[in-house]
Amino acid sequence: MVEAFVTDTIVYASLFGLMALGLTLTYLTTKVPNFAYGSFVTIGMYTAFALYRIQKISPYASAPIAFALGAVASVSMYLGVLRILSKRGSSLVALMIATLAVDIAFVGIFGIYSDYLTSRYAFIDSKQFYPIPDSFTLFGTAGIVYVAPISLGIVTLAVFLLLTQSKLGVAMRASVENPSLARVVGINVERVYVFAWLLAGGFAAMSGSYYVLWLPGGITGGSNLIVEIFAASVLGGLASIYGSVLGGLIIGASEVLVTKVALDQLGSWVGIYQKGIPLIIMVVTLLVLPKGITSIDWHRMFVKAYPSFASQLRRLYHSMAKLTRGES
Amino acid sequence: MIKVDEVSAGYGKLQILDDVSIEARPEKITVIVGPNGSGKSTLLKTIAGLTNIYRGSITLSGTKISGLPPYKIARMGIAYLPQTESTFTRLTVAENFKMAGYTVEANDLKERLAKALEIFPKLSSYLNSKVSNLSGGERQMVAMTMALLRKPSVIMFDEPTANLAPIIATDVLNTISNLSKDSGLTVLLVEQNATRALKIGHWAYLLASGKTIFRGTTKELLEHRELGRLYLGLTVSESGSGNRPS
Repeated sequence: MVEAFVTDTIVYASLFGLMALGLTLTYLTTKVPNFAYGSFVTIGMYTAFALYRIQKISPYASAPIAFALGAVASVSMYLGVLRILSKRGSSLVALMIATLAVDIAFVGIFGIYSDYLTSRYAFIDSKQFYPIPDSFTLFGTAGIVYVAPISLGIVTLAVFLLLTQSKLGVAMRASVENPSLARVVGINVERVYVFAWLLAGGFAAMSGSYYVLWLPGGITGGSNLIVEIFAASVLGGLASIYGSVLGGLIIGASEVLVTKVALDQLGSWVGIYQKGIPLIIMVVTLLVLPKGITSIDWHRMFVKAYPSFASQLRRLYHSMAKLTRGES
Repeated sequence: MIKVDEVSAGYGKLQILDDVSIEARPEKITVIVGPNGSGKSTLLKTIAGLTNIYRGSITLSGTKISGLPPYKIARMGIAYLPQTESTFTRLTVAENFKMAGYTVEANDLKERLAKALEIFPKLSSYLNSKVSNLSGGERQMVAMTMALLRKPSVIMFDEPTANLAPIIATDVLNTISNLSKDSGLTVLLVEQNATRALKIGHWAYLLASGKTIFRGTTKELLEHRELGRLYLGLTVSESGSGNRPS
């Protein structure tokens, strides 16, 4: 039997990796910290909850529907709010506040929807609900412990292939680096941004539908995670897709592991400070590494720390290269 | 032919161009010169759709293009090489070319690239290198290749020799000159070194404070002592050596 803190770490870290990846995609395109992003996660939570309770559909099966709903919500927000305000020349602060307003509006909508579920189906727990039972176990461990990291791996690989191998993906990178130049070479930058927001909303909702297999959900379920998601994205450098995945893994894992160590060593009273861990990591990152962990020159650090090992590795690499070229 | 007709334009509420009119014809190099801040770069950006046009219109072979989004203007055959950041530095050379041919079929792009690389054969060996690792001259070659890949009818260069070594700058200007002759392109050239640009150009416009204060042949401008001295910093000896437009 695997220890509970290990499975907690795996699920939590993987889901935050997925969430942070989406948030970074929206930040890369509009350069606006999107505080409504947590609500896209809530969309996934409620899709999973409603379809499980009404139709007995497992959250694994409803995840694609959650993805689609999250994508629609995200694109609607981008086109209906942020793009209009940007075109009017609104400042970054105004745009940030607009995302906050959208989040509040979303919470209101979830409240109305949960009232509807209560009155129509008598789901008295629809405002705050317990985790949905997992539909399968493997070696005595819940399915989500396998599905969450595998999904993160697949999504990261798919995003990597999209960004490096497809024309649209390269156009995304080009539009992020220099939108003006992208426009004058004939790229419809707006369409590229819409696609990025579509993916971001989809990933958020997908992670939300998995989240409720492990932890409780509710009308502010996603919004309450925004600190962790931002901390993960900041740790990853805010502008790095792969960095955000790594940031999500570190934030998720630290929150669980640090809390466990603190609980063991100091007692149960530290439990209420669990949410402070990602906040501390975010503050420290902004002070020490404002460009995130991806800005660290690992190669130089490694060579400096272990010069002889590095030179041996280099020698080995050159010998291998010679061998493959058929030189003696 | 591209025609800018009494255009006033700028950025947001800041007006830079004031009733500017120019014409650029195929197979000819139209040089736009003027002191710093005269609106030369803004004029090219306006044609590319990157500014706000308050009055006037721009047409490409009779079709109105002013008011269209930049990507549509680009797809109509207008290539614009900005003064700085004319390439995507975080992408590889091959990816830059892929972006330049964003709307071109893969096979067609391959053929066009092969032809473009005949002009800049050196780039063949850099296809998988990131543009950030290339020199200024090599980046300019990448930018020019990107423009050519789209088979434009109009190509606009904004100070293509800025920050280049003199020998490379000469190469770049010669290539621009050959492009207009061999490919029948309409070339609009904004250049910091007025004398050099006027020598390879055919038609000239002098801008000052956002207004056109001279239009004519490059030779006429080179021979105009007063304007040359006042606005272009030309000495008497530099004047009168331009090519006669054909």
